[in-house]
Amino acid sequence: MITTDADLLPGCRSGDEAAWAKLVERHTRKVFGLAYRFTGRADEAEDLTQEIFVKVYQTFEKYREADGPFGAWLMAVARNHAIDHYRHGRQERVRRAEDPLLLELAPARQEHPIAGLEREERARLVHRGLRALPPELRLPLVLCDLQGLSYEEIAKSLEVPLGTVKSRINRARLELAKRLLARRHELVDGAS
Amino acid sequence: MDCQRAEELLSDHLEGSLHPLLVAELDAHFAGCPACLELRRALAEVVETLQSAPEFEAPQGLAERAARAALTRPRPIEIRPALVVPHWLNAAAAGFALIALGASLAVIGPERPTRAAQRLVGQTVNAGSSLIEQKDRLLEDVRVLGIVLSTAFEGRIERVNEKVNDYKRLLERRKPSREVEPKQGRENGPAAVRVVTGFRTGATRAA
Repeated sequence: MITTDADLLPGCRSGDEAAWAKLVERHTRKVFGLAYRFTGRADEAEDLTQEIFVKVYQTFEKYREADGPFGAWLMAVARNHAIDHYRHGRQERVRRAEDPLLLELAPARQEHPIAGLEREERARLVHRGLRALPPELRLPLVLCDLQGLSYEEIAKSLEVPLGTVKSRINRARLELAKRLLARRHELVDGAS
Repeated sequence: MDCQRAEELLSDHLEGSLHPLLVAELDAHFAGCPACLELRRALAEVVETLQSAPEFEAPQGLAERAARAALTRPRPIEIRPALVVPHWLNAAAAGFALIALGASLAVIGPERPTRAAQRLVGQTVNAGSSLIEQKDRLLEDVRVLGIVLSTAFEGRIERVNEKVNDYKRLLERRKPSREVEPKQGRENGPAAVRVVTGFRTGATRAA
C-alpha cells in the first residue's frame, strides 16, 4: 500500500515519531535540492535542510488541508526559510571556483549516450556557474528558473522592485550563457 | 541598436514579452551580429538546462538526521488568544445592572433613601460584582481546560501534568477570596429577607 502525506499527517499531529520520520523521508530529496540550489554547497544545503524540517515541525499546526497539498505547503515554508537564510546573510561563504562538494546530477533516462554527455557537460557548466554567481543574482534566478516563481512573486519575496528582479535575472542568465560560450570556444580552440 | 542594448533585451525576447517594434529591431541586430545571436541561443540553453534540472540525490542518512533534529527541539507552545466574551453575555450583564438600578430607584423614589433601600442597592451592586467575578472565573477555567486538552491531544503527558498542577495552584490562590464570600453572604443574607418583608420607603416613613 502506498503511504501518502494525508495518511501520515494525523500521526504526526498526535506525536507519532515514526510517522514524522516517514514524512521527512518523503520530502527530504526535494527540500535538499532546493537548499542546494540556494546555497550552492552540499554541506550548507544539509544544514539548511535540517533547519527547514525543524521549522516545518514547529509550524506544523498551521497547516490546514484546505490550504492545498501538504507538499506544496512544505516547499513554500522551505523556500521562505531559504530566502530568510539568504537575506540574513548567514553562512554566506566566499565561493570557491572548484567546490569538492559539487553534486553530480543524475543522468536522464532513455537518452543517446552522446546527447547524454553533452547534456551532462552543459548542466555541469551551468550549475557550476550558478554557484559562482553573487547571491543577489543567484537567488532571483533560482526562484525564477528552478522554482518557477513569477517575477511579481520574486519581487515580493525578496522585497526588491520588479524592474530590479527582471534586470538581475537577465544579468544572471547572461553571465551563465557567456560562461557556456567561453567553455565551448575553449573546446573548439583545443580541438583545432 | 548596439550590443549592450541587445543584451538587456535578451530575456524579454526569449520569453516573448518584448514589444513587436523592439523584436523587429533586435532581429535586425541579430542579422548583422553573430555574437549576439550566439549569446541569445546560449541564453535559451541556460534557461532550458535550469528549468529541466533533475533533482539532486540527498546525502545518505539526511532524512533521519533532519527528522531527529526537529524532534529534539520542542514545538513552541501556541499562545491561544484569550477567550472572547460573547457580546450577548456582556449585554445581559449590563442589562441586569440597569434593571437592578432602575428597580432600586423606583422603590426608593425621589425621597432620601432609607437604610433598607441603601442596603438593597449595596446588595445589588455586590450581586453584580459577584456575577462578573464568577463569569471571569468560568472563562478562565474553560481556557485552562482548553490548554490541558490541546496538550493532551498533542500527546505530551508531562506538559499535561504541568498544566494540571498550574490549575491546582490557581485554585489554591482562589481559595482565600472564596472563604470571604460566605461571610459576606451571611452578613447580607438575612438583610435580603428583611428587605422583602420589612421594606420601608421614604414616603411611608414620611407618612
